[in-house]
Amino acid sequence: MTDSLHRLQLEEGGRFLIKTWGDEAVAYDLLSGDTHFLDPLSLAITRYLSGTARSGEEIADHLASNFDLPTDEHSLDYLHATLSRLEAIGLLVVKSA
Amino acid sequence: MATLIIEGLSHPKLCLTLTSAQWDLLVRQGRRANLLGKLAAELAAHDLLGEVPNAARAHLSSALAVANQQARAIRWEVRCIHEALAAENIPAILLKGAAYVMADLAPAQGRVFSDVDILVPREAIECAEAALIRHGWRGDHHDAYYQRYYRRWMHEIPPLMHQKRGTVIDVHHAILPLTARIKVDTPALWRAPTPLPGLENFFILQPIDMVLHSAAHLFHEGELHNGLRDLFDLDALLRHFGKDPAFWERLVPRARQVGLERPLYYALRYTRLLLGTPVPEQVVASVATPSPPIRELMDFCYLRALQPDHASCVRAGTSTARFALYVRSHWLRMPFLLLAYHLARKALLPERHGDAEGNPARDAAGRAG
Amino acid sequence: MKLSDLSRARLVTCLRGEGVWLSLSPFVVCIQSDVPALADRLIEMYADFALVPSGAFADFHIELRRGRGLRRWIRPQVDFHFDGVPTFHPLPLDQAYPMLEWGLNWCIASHAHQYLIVHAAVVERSGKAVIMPAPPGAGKSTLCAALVHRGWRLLSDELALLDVDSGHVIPLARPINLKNRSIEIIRRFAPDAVLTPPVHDTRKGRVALLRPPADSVRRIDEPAMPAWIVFPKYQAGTQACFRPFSKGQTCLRIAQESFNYDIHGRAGFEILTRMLDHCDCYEFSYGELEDAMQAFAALAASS
Repeated sequence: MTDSLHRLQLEEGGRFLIKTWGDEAVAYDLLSGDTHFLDPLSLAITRYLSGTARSGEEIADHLASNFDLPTDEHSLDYLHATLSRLEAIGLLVVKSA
Repeated sequence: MATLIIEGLSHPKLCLTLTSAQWDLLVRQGRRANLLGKLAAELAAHDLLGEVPNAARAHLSSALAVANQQARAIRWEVRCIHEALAAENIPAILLKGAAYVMADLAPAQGRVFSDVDILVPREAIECAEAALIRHGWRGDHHDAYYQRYYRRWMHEIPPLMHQKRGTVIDVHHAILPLTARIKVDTPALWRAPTPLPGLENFFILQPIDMVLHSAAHLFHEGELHNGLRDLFDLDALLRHFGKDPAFWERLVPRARQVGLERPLYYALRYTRLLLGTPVPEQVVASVATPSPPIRELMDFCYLRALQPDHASCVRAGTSTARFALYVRSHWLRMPFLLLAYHLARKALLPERHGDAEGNPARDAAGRAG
Repeated sequence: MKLSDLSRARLVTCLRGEGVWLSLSPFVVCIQSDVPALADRLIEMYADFALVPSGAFADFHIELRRGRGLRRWIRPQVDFHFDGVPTFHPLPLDQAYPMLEWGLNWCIASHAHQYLIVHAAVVERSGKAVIMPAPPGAGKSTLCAALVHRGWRLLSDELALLDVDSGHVIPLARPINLKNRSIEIIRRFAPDAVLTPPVHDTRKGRVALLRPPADSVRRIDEPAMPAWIVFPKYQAGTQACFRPFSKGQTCLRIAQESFNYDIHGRAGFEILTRMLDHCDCYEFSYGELEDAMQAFAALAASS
């Protein structure tokens, strides 16, 4: 999913309502009726992907430079898990190159 | 002896003349018959909801909120079912409530649902079951007797419940049980179903078949808790599709062809008698009628059992009528010996307790504390 | 006319006959019963509540009926009927009154979807409401009972009713359900408080109900705007402390503690997020009630 062949982008069909408070948010899925919590990392990802598809590397680099995050194994795992979750709930969609 | 909820739904304007005691009863009958949401939708469509007294309007708004939520949930559920079956290329026809919602048909307005019913080709049913299980559905009947009962004698596999969402799907391969005394030509229903836009390989029945299926279902059903609601479904379908004269011309011949003339007779008789549904005289005249003693017996039973299951609608013979129809429904479905065994077994099993509405908020009393 | 205007004998007759038509402000409930002890509990708990004329409109028709046959004499039981249908497993006869309260909670939570309903206690001061959602065992009812004896107005102990148009909390001001040790704690804390005799061995342990303050009942038609969301937690030996809590997570927790958030769909999401825009959210831990009262007084004064 985060290899360079696949790019992620924000769902653009108007499926979600997003309400932001500071650096966190909640997203309401108009189709399923589910409400999801977006922690600061998830919110930063959705902001970065707004309007543009990006690869996993680009996302990792962006977060590392803008949020002063370490790029160790543990952080990458966490990023990976977050991206998977956002994709599973339908907020991010994978675009094949 | 007209029932308030029937009066209210048939003549929404009349509701505005009701006393508060009558509203009290109307809300109770509507709630019990699962028709309160429909009444709210009907009043809203006539722009009358705002004129309903506050106390009663609160209940109507509440019921409408539930119905709207259920319609939304059904649309999502159908999407999820489609995802599961599309991977295996299994076609499906959506039945009843799910079909009304997906095609935005008249009975969908304010209707409440219990589960989703779909029809798949007989040879695909096991594959469909496996696909659904891979996508998170599980069978909830562990009792070996019920497993056998469903698989051997019923026209479906046991209901499947989604593990996360708690929603239930009934997968059928025939619209009546294999053993039913009425033989239905199910493959004929597959010849020209109506496609659902945006859901490849998903269909609804064509208008006449939808009416026939709805009739077959209601008049084989033994427990008529939702009998009046289902009769209103038929009423809405007949009024809607009946605008096209070709519908009436082809209705009876098609019923004969697929083997559902008798249920059609009952559908036309009781929608006309109880709800005043307009049906052309020549259509009424062309349906084969049961012999007079049977007709009288059925009138006795259905005119009682199709009323809301509420104390205010009970009259002499109501419980006898309900019991007779319960036995009849099983008689129609099963060979005699199996019937005796099944009824005895049902009688021996402890009655399931709880509220009759199957409401998820059922445990509120336990939670709040 | 108030319930206290009826004699006990008259009340028993009404319960057996056309019912007691009790106004709980947004709801009218018609109660019928052949359990005479229920009259005593209603007099203790609902004396200040208004009665409405019988035979008009009731939101909920409920009956508490003694079991039939042998059950009348051997380990007698009581059944809860909602509009003529038995709705729960029967309970021992001495639990008739708690069953009435729990059954009423069920009636409201599973039918009144004109409101967004959250499992929470709500108290108010100077027009501003504190909503306290909490799972059982968090000390929500104890805290609520204490607060309403120290100048806070009771809106509800169990069910926060949020008006979907105005965002107001609609008061219910029904009796507060106290369990086990909190019965003695509140007796000590507020010696004037009126409690029902404790009922033992219920599903929730030992239970007593606390009569709502007369002032809260008198002002039952005054809604209030939510200003704080507080998740209380009783922790023995800790100092009372408010810790700011994330609005996003508050939103999810309220949705989880709601009986009908899913039914409201998009509207539910919008009401909830709009409410949180105007609320401060906290986690609150406390070990001593007096300490907690001071912390709440400071919270009210802070705005």
